[in-house]
Amino acid sequence: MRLALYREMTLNSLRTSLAFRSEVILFLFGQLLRLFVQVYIWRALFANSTELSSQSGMITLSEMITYSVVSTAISVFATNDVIFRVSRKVSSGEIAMDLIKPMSFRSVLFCQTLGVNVYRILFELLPLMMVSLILFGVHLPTLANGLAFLGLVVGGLILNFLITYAIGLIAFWYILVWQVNTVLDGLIRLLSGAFIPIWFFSDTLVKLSYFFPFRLIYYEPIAVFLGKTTGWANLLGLFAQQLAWIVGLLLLQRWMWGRAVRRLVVQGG
Amino acid sequence: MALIEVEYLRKEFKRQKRKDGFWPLMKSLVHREYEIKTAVENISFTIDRGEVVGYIGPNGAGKSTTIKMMVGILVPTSGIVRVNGLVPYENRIENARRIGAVFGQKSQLWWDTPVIESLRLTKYMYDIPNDRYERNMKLFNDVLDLDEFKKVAVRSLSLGQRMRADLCAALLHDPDIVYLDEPTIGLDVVVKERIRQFIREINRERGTTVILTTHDMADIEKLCSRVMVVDHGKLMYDGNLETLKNDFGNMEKMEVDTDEPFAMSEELRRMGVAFGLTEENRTQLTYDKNSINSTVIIKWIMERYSVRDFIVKETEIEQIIRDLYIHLQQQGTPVSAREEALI
Ligand SMILES: Nc1ncnc2c1ncn2[C@@H]1O[C@H](COP(=O)(O)OP(=O)(O)OP(=O)(O)O)[C@@H](O)[C@H]1O
Ligand SMILES: [Mg+2]
Repeated sequence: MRLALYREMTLNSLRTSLAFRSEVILFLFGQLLRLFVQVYIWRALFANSTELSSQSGMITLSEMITYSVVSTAISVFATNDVIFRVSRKVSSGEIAMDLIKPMSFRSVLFCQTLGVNVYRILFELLPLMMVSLILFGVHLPTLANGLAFLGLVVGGLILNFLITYAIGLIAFWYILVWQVNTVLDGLIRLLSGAFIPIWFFSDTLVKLSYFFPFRLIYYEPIAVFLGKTTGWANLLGLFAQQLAWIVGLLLLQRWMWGRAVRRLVVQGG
Repeated sequence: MALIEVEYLRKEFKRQKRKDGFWPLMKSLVHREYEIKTAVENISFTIDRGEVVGYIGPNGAGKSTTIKMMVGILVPTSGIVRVNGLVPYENRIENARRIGAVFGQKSQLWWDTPVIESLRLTKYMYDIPNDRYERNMKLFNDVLDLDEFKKVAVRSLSLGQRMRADLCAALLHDPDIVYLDEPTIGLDVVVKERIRQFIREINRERGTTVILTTHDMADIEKLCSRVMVVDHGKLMYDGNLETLKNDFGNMEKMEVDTDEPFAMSEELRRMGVAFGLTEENRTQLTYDKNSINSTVIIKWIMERYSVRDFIVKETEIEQIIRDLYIHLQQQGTPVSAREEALI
């Protein structure tokens, strides 16, 4: 293992983010605005009732508000620019400079993404959560569910990276990655439960969501957070699903990479 | 065993044909037509440990393409590259550990990171032991003079500064081989000289094998013991610099200052002397030194004019290569068939 190298690469990316510190206040304002909109939509939908029936039993308004807050929290670091990075590197030929280094291209990207994520957790997620806790009452999970939630979020993060990396690799064949990205965004928005929990979905949509890994990034961890999923068997089941997707994506990437490298034409020079 | 073995190496690029006009364009959306461009064609050579090889040729000759295949970032269409007994693109990471590379047009350093931080990352990248890192840094710092810009982010370096930083990064881990693709492009004379000195030292003291492409013939003259010339993807010449000079550097130039203006003479012309630029009383003459001796010419002139001064210039390497390229164009593919002319 080359932990020292990965640590240094991640720290370097974190330092770069710090040097380019984006406007934290502006970000916070934007995210809070979005949260407010969601909270008011849910208030309106609940109207006078305190509970709505769903696929996983009765849901209260305050649970929905918690759902929105946690979903926003996950979205802070489950958005990355890996697709964009890969396609830019491939089309500009900059990828050559990564390939002359004794390190896998994926590790380079992963460390860079991780560094940015750490930055975002410190400077975007923490302030956002503090303000949210004050403005909106948030349900806190039990210890067991809290820990499982954290584990699932980490798994979701890895899953998210692998999905975006696999899509980024398409750039070796087509430079139309932006269009693919738009489709992906739509799919995630719909099928991950980032905005509307899967428990309000119709039966067909629920079935459809099982064909994609996205629900394991947003919906399932949040359901654990809210205590809708409990019991060792169920929790382990979620981890197993994440693991299966991760292994599947790794295999897919190995296959793609083997092909991609063969057809790589390094532009310029 | 040779350090680098290249056998019948070939690289073809598929290029999409561009269509003009509406219908051809529409058709190309459905059915794409490609044309094949052979960038490297059946090149074979071997390079031994410790050699400094200049790899030269006109623009678009296939130099960078060959280097990319040797480095392992481009997969050959056919043929073999073996470096240290390994096939670079199949063992990319293993190969990358033992080589250094500088591509003049791109930087391998982290764009947004200060130079010194970038170099420190290199240390982790290649697992360089602490003491070796310190020792090399100190040495390279002296020669490349990194101090003045080591805290600056790579993106804000000047071209020459970036090149020095890149060279340092490529050599910190004491690679067996270093590939330099136009390492002196766009640099001022002082920096160029410094970089040449650095490369020479590395080669002499560590026995590092150097493969270098350049359009600056002074690089070749000052660094390389061996030259390989490619054109249109084919290896046209492979040998040492002296032989090249003897084969193609047979034209000599003489400048004569006389009291009275010099008149062209049929007799001299018949002796094989050509008249070059003439301004007032200074005359340039060129001739093949293998067929006529400069003393014969000067004697002929002194018998007829009073000579104030004269100099004999051996052909510069620049001129030799120019002659060679022109020679290749006439012997090889006709100029109009070249892709570059079409685009
Ligand atoms: N990715 C590519 N796709 C299509 N053709 C390419 C590609 N890369 C290079 N070529 C073509 O291959 C030929 C050789 O290119 P190469 O970059 O090796 O030349 P070079 O000798 O390095 O030239 P220069 O001195 O200008 O750097 C050129 O005709 C170029 O147009
Ligand atoms: Mg080139």
